[in-house]
Amino acid sequence: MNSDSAIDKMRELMLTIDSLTRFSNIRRKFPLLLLITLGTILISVISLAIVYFYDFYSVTMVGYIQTGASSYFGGSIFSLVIWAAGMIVIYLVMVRAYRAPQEIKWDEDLKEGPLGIIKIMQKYDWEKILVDLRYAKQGFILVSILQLLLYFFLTFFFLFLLFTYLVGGLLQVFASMYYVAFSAAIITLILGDKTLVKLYNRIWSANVLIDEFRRFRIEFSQREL
Amino acid sequence: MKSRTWKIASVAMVLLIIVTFVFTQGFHYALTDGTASQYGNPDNGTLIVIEALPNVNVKYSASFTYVGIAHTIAYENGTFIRAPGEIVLQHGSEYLINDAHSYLNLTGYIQGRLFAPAFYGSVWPRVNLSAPGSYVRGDPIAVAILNNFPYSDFNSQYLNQRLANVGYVAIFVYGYAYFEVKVVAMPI
Repeated sequence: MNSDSAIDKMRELMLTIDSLTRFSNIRRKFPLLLLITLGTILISVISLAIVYFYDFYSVTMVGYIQTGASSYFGGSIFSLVIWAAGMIVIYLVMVRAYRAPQEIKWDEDLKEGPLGIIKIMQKYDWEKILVDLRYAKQGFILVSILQLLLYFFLTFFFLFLLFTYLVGGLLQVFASMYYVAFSAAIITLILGDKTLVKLYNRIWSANVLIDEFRRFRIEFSQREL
Repeated sequence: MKSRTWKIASVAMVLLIIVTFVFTQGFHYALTDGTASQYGNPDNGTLIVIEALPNVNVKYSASFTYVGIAHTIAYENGTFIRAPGEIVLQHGSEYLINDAHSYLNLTGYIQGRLFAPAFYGSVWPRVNLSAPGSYVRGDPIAVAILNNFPYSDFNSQYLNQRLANVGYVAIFVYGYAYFEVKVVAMPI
C-alpha cells in the first residue's frame, strides 16, 4: 500500500468513525430522551385528569369523544397537542446530538502524509473511540425504535380518526381501540420493514469495523514496540 | 446527568403516571338525548332514570325543550294526548313546557359513599350497572329511557322508594319534550 492510498483509507476511516460517533452522541442522550418521553406522558395524563375534573364540575363533555354506537374514548385535543410537542422536542434533541461538532479532525495531520498517520495513531484515545463505536450500535437501535414508534403513533392517529369520524360516525359501528392499535401495529411492521433491514446492516457494518479496528490497533502497538 | 439521578426521576415519573392514569380511569360519561312522546295509555309517559353505583360521585344535567308536535297533534288514534310536556320530578315538583320559549334545565348531584359495596346493581326495571372489575362488564353509571311507562309505577317505585345499593334520580315526562341528559361520574 503506498502512502496516498493509506491516506485515502485513513480519510475513509475518519468519515466512517465520524458518522458512527454521531449515533453514539444520540445514545448518550438516552436518559434525557427517556425523561422527556415520561414527562410528555405525565403531562398528557395530568391534562386529561384536569379536563375530566372540568367536565365533572361543569357537567360538560369536553373529554368525551364518541367512537361508536355505544362506546366512547376518553381523551382530549390537549393530550394530542402535548404528544405532538413531546415528539418535536425529542426530534430536536436527537438532531442536535447528531449534528454536534465531532472531535475527530484528521485533515490537518493527513496533509503531512505517512508521518501524519503515525501522529494520529499516537494522538487519539482509541479506547474511547472503541467505546463510542459500541455506543453507536445502541444508538442505531434507539433511533430505529423511536422511528418505529413514530410510525405507530402516526398510523394509530390516522386510523383512530378514520374509525371514529368516518366508520364510527357514519355507520355507527363499534370501534374498539384494541382493533385500531392492532391494525396500527401491523401497518407499522410493514412500513418499518426497511428500517429494520437498515438497522441490521448498520449493526453488522459497525461490528466489522470494530473488529478491524481492534486488530489494526493491536498490530500497530506491536510494531510500535 | 448522574446515573442515579435520572433513574430515580424516571421511577418517580412512572409511579406518578400510574397513579394519575388509574385516577382518570375512574371517570365515566353517559349522554342521551331524544324526544319524549305520548302513545298508548294517556296516563303513561316517558321515564328517565339516572343511576349510579355508590363508588362514584355523580353530577348530571337534564335539559328539556318544547317540541311543536304537542300543539299540532293533540289526538292520536282517537286518544287525547297530554300536551304540552309536563315534567314531574322525584320529589313531586312539576314543570310545564308549554310554548316555544319555555325550557327546563335541571342539574344535580348524587353523592357516592366510600367503601360501600359496589359490584353491580339495578333499579327496577332492567337497567344494569357494574363497577369496574366486576364480572358484569359495564359502567357504574347509566341513563335509562323507559317509554310508555305508567305514572302509577313511577309514583310507587320511584317517588316513595330508595334502593340501598344504587343512587338514582327519576324524571317523569308527560306529553312531548326534547330532552338531553349528560352525566359525569368521578371516583370518590
